[in-house]
Amino acid sequence: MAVYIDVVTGFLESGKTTFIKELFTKKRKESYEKIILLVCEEGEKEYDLHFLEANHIILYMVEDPKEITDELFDRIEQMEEPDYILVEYNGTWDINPLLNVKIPNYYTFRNIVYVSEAETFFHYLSNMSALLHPHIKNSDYVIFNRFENINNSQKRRYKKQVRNINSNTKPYFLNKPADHKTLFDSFAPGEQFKTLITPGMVIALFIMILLCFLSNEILIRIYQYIQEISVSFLSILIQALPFILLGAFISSLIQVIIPSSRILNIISKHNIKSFIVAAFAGFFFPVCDCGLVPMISGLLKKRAPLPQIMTFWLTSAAVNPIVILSVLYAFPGNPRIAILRVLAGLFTGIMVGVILMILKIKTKDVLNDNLSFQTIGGDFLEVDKESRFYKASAVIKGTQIEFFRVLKYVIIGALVSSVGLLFLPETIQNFIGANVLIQYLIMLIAAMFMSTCSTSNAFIARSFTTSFSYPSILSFMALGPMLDFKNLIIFSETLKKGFLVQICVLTGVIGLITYSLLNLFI
Amino acid sequence: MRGNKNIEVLIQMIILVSIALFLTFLLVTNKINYYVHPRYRLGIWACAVTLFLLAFRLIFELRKGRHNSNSRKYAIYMIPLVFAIVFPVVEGGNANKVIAESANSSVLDEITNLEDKTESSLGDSEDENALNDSVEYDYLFDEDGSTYEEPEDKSLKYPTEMIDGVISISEEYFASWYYDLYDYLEDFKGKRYQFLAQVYSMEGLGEDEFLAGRYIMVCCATDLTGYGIVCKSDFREELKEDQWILVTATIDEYDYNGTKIPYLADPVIEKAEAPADEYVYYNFY
Repeated sequence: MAVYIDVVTGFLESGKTTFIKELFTKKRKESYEKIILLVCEEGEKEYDLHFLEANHIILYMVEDPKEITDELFDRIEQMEEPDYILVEYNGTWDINPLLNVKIPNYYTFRNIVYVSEAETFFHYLSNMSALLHPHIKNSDYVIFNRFENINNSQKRRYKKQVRNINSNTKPYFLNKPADHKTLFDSFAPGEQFKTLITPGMVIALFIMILLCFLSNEILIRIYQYIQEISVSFLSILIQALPFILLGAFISSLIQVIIPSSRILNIISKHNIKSFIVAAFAGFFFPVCDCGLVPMISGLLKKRAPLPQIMTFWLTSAAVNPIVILSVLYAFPGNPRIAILRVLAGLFTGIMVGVILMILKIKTKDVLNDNLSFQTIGGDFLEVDKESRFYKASAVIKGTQIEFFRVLKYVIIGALVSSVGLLFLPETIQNFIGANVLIQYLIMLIAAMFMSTCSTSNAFIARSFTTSFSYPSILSFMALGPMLDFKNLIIFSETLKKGFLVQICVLTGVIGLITYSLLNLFI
Repeated sequence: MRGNKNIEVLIQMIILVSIALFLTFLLVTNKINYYVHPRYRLGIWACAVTLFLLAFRLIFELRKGRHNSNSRKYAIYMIPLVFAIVFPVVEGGNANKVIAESANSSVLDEITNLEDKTESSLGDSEDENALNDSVEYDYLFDEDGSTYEEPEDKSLKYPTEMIDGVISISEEYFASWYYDLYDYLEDFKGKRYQFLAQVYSMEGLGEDEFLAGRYIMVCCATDLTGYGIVCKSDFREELKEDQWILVTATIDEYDYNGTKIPYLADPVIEKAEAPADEYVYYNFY
């Protein structure tokens, strides 16, 4: 018979004891015969003898985190042979030693519950996130009690915060655990049965049944379509992987090594010079745009000023030496195209930056709320700070975290782009010879959804020369990396969606001005 | 006695290792060339090695206890692997088969030496897969500064030695030769060429006509296109799609929807073996 270990954790006075007592108030069908209650709070004698005896509870007091060892559980097993262990854990202790203990094979950690007073939660979270974070991350439930003064929008915000730490953790606003049946039942004695059929399974089954009824021809057609999408998707991904890894490394390096103030000092002087520096900084980072996105995100997480960083990002493709070379080679004997491409990129990027500065949009307003947990400050990396190689191992761990985080968005973006690629070229053909404004719009849409790397989009643009005018081709090349849908999806991890829409519209409008200027002069 | 298993770290390790293995598999079997331009090879090797190292580092975290780890969120990382296994890449991939854009545009008139500038740096190294970028850049800058004269007759850019009145176009020249052929048809007319090609069919061609061409890749498989020249043969039915042939033919012109495009006259077609690299890669830098 399995022995479950349930853990209730949280700060002192958070309502852990009440929670535990409540677990035993309502009668259940089955009950345990011997329960060990491991209390990790100092001195507090809150459980009276009557309560303990009535519920067959034996109290164990642990007053020092060093006592949480393999031997403790070994001793409990040898001496008591309990059928249930409940741990009231100390919220100020590191939770990892508890999870790291070697327990007998038939022992299982079942539920970990984090209990918090609703009103103080946000305060603790913002000031002691390094302490709270591991507790919540390992919890199955977060229970907020004494929530009467909390309004609904705040509740939503709390829930969002918890889900951002671990989307598997379920946040509840409850004063009594018995009020919530699912929660209460998960503490019930006896084996637990989890639902075996998930909605995903039903959908998969439905699709498979549907496929059985389709004719061979349609199936072959579908297979071919998916095959084509698969090749485009994987090729975009494979090509991007080295750059993403490099970008993740640089981003991690920026976040771990360089102190925030340093970066701020370099580019936060609000003058024209800072924009010029930002605009040409891309020259020194000759990587593909998908590698630059994680780096930009890293800078923004360090609270670098938004206008200059956006200028840096938007112009990076224009001043990238590899891009310039590729344009020169795609349009040989016509260096004017390359020069105009650089100028158009610089103009658009600097204008957007200046407008952002005039609008006084601050970095912290556009970052996603949950970002306090997504920065890879030394706290969350959980590496040994004493070690001589602390910084090196933090950077490597950070690289891995960033890599996983960015890769997710790259996968989604590449998938969207490869589906777009299947249909877009044919659609574009329908608009050959359209008027000037429509040409611009078509190129804008193509730039967004074709997701071609900035280093090669000159060659794609070349193939449009027969059907589109020069200015529209130039805007395709210049706006391509700025509005690339894949990049936007990667950015959506860091930046608010509203702001991304704003920046797209802004770039599109400035792009149109640039385009009209080009039309006048060519 | 056992410790608490850290499923999350285990899953991360599996993902890293399987991506790295997939990349290594592609590199070792050369299938990577179906997906991306060979110039990325070095970067992808570096990437695979780094991923292996990251996975190795995670071994030390395996013993760290973890409760309620969210393993479902890792499903998304499996998508590429599922795609790679269920829909393996085939030759030709997602390429459209077309004839090049004609030379009406003013830009294309100026499109000239795309490959011949780099060919001497590339030509020496047979295994140009692991391209050394820096060497090439130096070369490009030197070349841009110098007084490189474009020959008046574009056909002179390519080998002119004839064996039995036939000029052989090797793989490395094919892409730029093909583009020049479309842009400066007059210069090439009447010359007899031999080249390795594949048989493509295209809508709008006659029953005994086909395209003799190659798949050309600029950057990755999303831009892969099968470019071909119209050719007429009495044995058209015997030629299968994508079959490898050695074409010997004289360049002539052909009226295609009102534009003059190259045409392969008096073709002699022999069956041929597939080359090591099925695609032709466009080396612009």
